[in-house]
Amino acid sequence: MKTNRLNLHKFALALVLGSAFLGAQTIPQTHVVKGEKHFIAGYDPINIDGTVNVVIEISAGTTAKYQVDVKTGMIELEQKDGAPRFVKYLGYPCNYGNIPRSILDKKKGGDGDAVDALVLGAALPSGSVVRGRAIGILSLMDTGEKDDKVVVVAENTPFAACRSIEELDKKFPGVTTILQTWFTSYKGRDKEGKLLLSSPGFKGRSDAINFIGDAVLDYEKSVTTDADRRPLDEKGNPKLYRWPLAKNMGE
Amino acid sequence: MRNLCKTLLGGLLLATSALPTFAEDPAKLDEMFGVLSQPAYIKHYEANLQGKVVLNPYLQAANKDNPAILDVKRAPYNWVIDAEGRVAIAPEAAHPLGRTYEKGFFRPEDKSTRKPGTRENFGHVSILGGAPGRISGEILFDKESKTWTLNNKSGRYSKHNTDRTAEQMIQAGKLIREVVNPGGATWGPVFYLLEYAPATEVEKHMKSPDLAYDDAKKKSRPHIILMPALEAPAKAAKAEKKALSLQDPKPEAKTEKVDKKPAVKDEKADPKVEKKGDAKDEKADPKAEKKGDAKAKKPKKPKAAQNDDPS
Repeated sequence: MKTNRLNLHKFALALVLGSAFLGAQTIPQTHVVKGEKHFIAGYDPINIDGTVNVVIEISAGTTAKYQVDVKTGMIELEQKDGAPRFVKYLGYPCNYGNIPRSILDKKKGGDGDAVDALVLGAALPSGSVVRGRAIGILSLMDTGEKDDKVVVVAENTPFAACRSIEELDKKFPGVTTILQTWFTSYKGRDKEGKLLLSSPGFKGRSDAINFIGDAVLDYEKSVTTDADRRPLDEKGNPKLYRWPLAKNMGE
Repeated sequence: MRNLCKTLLGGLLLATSALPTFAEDPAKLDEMFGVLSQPAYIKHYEANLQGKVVLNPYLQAANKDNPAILDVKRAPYNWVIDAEGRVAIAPEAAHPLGRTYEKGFFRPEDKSTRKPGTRENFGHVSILGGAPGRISGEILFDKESKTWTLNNKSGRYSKHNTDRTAEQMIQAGKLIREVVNPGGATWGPVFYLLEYAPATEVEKHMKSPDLAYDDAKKKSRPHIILMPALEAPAKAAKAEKKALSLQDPKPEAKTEKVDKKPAVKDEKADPKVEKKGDAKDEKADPKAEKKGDAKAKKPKKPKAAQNDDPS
């Protein structure tokens, strides 16, 4: 009897989730994830061991479009025409998020948002901040505009052993194809029947490191003013900041 | 019985893999790469107003499990061996808290006058966030030979320390060649700059028959070549530059090259690299400009260091 009840619950849940997934009937809601810190400005992008931090917005396997609001620093369920936005496709094939304190400069052809990251590993809840290593970039074109996503392997997951896109392909056959297929297909086709998104392929680790580094520098430049700099002396020269002349005397 | 043996063998392998390796022993690391030391100084722009040293966002910390990769377009790089024996590397990029001094400036740390147009870049300290480090230096790209040369040029972690020996530089050179992918180029010679060496090492090597200079007449930049260039081209990085095609009918995506531009052209496109490398190299060797075309084809000896900046 107990088992039957559970099954009924599961069936009801499946109905609700199924209808949400199909987009036929969505439940109006506003969902906000508030973190300990501002999800864009509050976390470091890079760690001393060379790993990057990624703020997870969308958990793997789900369809709700969560994203960080730059002003509030909270993760919010995207609203479109007064209704929450769900992807009308299969759930995300990986965790999706962004690298804090980064910006893709509009002047350089970016969209003005933080660097998007595809985090490979077990599903993580929205608002998690996870460490990983960038191994490449999934190049994407969204209606003629660049929309590249950095591929990150999360630490302490089976994917963490991959050091490059080639290694990912060898050790986990099909993953790159799944990512490319999902991200080029989830928005559907245009009136002419062409997919709205296209992908010329993947770029390597070196490109990913440069892409993240450039975006982090652009962010820091965008938020830095002269007030953040140490004042110069009266002749316009820098002052001595820290000069311990630390000597290892070989003792 | 067989299963029991397999289990025991598996357990033994797991246990040994979890043991600290030779390279992780701090005493051994001190011997191999120098005693962990505070940076000699931190420049005024390298720490924010809260006193936190800003990390270089291109940072890579390499060991056998996590190799780093170089990009000729981003040369030059700085390197430091960190507390755990990793090779931390990052290219010299403009620091967001730094300034460009149109009229030049006086730098208090080394009491030097910097040239007009000097920009404040991320230095060695930005690789470790101001933390203590071991022997350190530069990774320079020599366009002529398309090789990466290594040296011990660091005013923070190499100079001012009494134990940064030539032997440590050899150990560091071996490790860097092992855990850093040269990104399609090859490894050039490993230099030991005597200006960044302790007095005991200077005394020893100044009498050595292997002593060389960047300019023999001026006796500028005395150095010893500790390791010759490697001959075999690195193929691993070429794979990095490949892209996977969506149109590939095979289940495993096929790779295709994304960037086929030669490194030299890419560098010319980057004014930073042009300014840092070539201009000063040519000034240091005026004879090279006067030589005829036939002689110009003769490859130049890579320079031991890129400029006079002691950081």
